[in-house]
Amino acid sequence: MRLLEYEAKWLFKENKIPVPAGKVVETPEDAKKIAGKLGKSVALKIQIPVGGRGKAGGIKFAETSKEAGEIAGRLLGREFSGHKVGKLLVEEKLDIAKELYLGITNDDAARKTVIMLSSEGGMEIEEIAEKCPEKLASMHVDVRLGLQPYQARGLAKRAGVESPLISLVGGILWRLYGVYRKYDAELTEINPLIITKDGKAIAGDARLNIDDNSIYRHVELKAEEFKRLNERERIAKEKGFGYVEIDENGEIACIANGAGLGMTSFDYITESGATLACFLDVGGRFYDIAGDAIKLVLGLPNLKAILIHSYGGVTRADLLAESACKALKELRPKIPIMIELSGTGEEGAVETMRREAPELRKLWVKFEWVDHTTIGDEDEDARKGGVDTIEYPIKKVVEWVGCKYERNPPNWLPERPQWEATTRANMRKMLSQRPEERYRRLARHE
Amino acid sequence: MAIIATEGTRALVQGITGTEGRFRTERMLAYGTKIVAGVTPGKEGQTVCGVPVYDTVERALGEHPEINAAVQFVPAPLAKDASLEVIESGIPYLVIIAEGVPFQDAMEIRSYADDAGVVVVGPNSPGVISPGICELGATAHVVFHGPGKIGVASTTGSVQWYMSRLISLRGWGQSTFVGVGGDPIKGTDFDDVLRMFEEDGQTEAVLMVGEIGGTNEERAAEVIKNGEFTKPLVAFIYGRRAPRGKRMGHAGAIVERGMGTVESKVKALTEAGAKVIAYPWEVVGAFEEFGIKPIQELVKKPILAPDIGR
Repeated sequence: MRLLEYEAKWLFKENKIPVPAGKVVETPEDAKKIAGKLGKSVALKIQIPVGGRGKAGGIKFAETSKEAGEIAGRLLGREFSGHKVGKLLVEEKLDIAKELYLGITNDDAARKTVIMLSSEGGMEIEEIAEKCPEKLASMHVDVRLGLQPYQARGLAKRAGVESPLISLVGGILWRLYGVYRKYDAELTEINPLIITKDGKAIAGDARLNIDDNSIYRHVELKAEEFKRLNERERIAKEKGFGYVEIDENGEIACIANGAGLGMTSFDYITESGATLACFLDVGGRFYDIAGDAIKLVLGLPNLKAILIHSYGGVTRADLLAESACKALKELRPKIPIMIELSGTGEEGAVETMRREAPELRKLWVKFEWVDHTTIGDEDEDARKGGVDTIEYPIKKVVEWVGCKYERNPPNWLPERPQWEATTRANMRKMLSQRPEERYRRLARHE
Repeated sequence: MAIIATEGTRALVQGITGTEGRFRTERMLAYGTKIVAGVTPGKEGQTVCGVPVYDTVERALGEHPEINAAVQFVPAPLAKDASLEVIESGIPYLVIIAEGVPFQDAMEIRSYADDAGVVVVGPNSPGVISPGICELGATAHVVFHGPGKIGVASTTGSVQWYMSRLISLRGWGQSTFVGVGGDPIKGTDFDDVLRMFEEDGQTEAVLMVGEIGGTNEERAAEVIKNGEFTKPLVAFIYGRRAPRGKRMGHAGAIVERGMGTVESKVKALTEAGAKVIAYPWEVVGAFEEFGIKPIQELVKKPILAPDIGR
C-alpha cells in the first residue's frame, strides 16, 4: 500500500524526522485559513498516490492566503493521472539551499535492504543514477543486523555530503531506516531532503509503501487500506480472494485458481484485442465459492463473458463443477461462461457437467465446459484437450466478446508455428501408446 | 537422484495438527514420503496418520535424529518463528508453503538460512516433488510422472501444471519439481535451483516457468553464461502484457522502476542460450529440438490416477 504524502509525513514526524509545518485540507476555505496561520508563502500539493505531481502541475505556490484559497479551488476536484484530488497538503514554503535524496528499499536479488543516499536530490533516483552517479552512494544492510548511525554517516560521506552536514543527514537516514523496519516498508524515500538556508534538514516529500503482507501487524494502516478499495475489492478481501482489477470497463472476467494462470490468460486475451476486466485468484480453495466469485465479477459494468480457468492440483475439479452449476442455476447470468476443469477429481467433474448441462440449457444459461481430456458436449467438437487446454477456453471467451483469437506475441519473442503440427503428431503418437484408456481415447481426437 | 526431496528424505511436518497440515500429511504419506515426526506446540503425545507429534523441533530431532527435511504448514504470521526454529536445529532443507509472509520476515529467514547453510524453498511455494519418490508440500501429484529426466522450477502451480502434464504424456517425466513461489524474496531462486539441477545426474534438461517482477530470471541467465549450468533450458515467462506498476496477483509480480519486464528476462535468457517459448504447449517442441528422448518405462507406466488421496 502506498501512503499519501501527508500520511507518510505524519509517520515521519512521529519518528523524529523533521517535516515542514502544514496541514492537509479538503476545501479552499481551509486552505486559505491554514495559509493564513502559517503566515508566509506556502506550497499546495495534491495528495494522490502517484509520482510526478510537480510536472503534472499538482504542486503550486502561493504568496498570500487569498491566493492559496484560489489555487486550492482550482486543484481540488480536478483529475490528475486518473486520480481525483480530494485532499491538498498546505505547507510552509522552505528556503532551499540544497536538495538531497534518501531512499531505502528491498533488493530481492541480494535478499537484503538497500540504502541509497545522494547529495543531489529532487529528481527520480533513476535520473540521479544516470546524471550524477558520483554523487550517489548505496549499501546493503542485513535486516538481522540493522543500520548503525556510523554506517549512515559513512554513506553520506561517500555520497559527497559536506562535512558540517554529515551528522545531520546521517541521523535522518538512520531514523528513516527505523521507519522502514517499524512499518514493514517495501520502499521509503525522502526526495528531496531539503537543507534550508538556515542549516536545517527537512523532508520536502515523503514516500512510504507498506508491504501488504505485513498489514496485519499495523492495525491503523489496515483500516486505511480498506477505505481505499472499491466495492469489488472489498468483497474479495472479505472472502479471501486475490483480486486484481485491471480495467473496470473490461469485457472479460477471469476466475483462476492461481495468479500464474490469471496472468497468462491476461496476456493472451490482451493480444487478441479483447479487454480483461479483472482476474480473481481463488487460490486452492474453490470448494463452495464459485457462486461468490461469479457474483463478485457480475458487478463489473461492461462484462460480456466469464472465464473460469482451473487446474486441479490443490483445487478439486469435482467440487468446483458442483458449486459452479449450483451458482449458475441461482444466478442465471445473461453472459456466457466458460468453465475449464482439470485435475484432481476431474472424472467426477465431467460427470457433473454432463448431468447438469441439459437443465442449465433449459434455463437459457449459455456456457461451455472443458476438461483436459474432454471438450464440451461429448464428441461433437474436435477435442483439443491434449495440446492447447490453456488456449482453447481463452479462444472461446475472446470470440464470445466479438474478437478473433490470434496468436500475437511481442516481436521480441520468437514465433514457432512450425512446432504445432509436429507437436500434435508426436503427442498423438505418445497418447496412443499410453496404458490408460482415457489417454488413448484422447489420441484419436488430437 | 533428484534434488531436495529424495529417497533418503526423512521429513518433519510443522503445524501437523492443523487442518491443512493433517490433510497434506495424509496425501504425502499416500505418495510415499517418509514422514517421521510432526511438530505442533502443546500437542505432544498425539499422532496424525500414525506420525508422532512433538512440542518442539528440538524434541522431534532428539527422538528422530534421522530427520533431514522440514515442510511447514503454519499461517504466514508464524512462518518466521517456525522457520528459525528449523534453521537453528540444523535440518538442511525447509519448504515454506504459507502465502503472505512479510517481506522483511522472508529476508530474515533467508539471512539465517544462508549462514546455517540451510536450503529454504518458499514462502508461497506449492512445494517440491520428485515424482515416484517423495513429495514435500502441496503439489499436484497427478500431473507428475517419474522418476523422469526434466527438472522443473516454477513461480506458479497453475500454468506449470499444464506444461508438466505435457512433459509426462510425452514420456519424459520429471526428476524434481521445485515451486520457488511468487514472493519477491525467495528462499530459493531460479539460479540456486539451476545449480542444484546441474549437480543432479538424473536431470537431463530443465523447464523454468517465471513471471514479471524482480531480476530472478536474469540471474538465472548469468548462471548459464558463467558456465555453472550447462544443460538445456526451456523457459516460459508470463505477464508480458501486464501494465507497469500493477501488482498482478503474486506479491513479486510487479514491474517497478523499469525493472522486471518480461522483455528483459526473455532477452537475458535467449542470449544465454535458453529456449524461451511464447505458449505453454511449445514446451514439447522445445525439448524435442534439444533432442530429449522419452523414457520407455514411463511410456508404459500409468500416470497417477487423478483422484488419488481424496
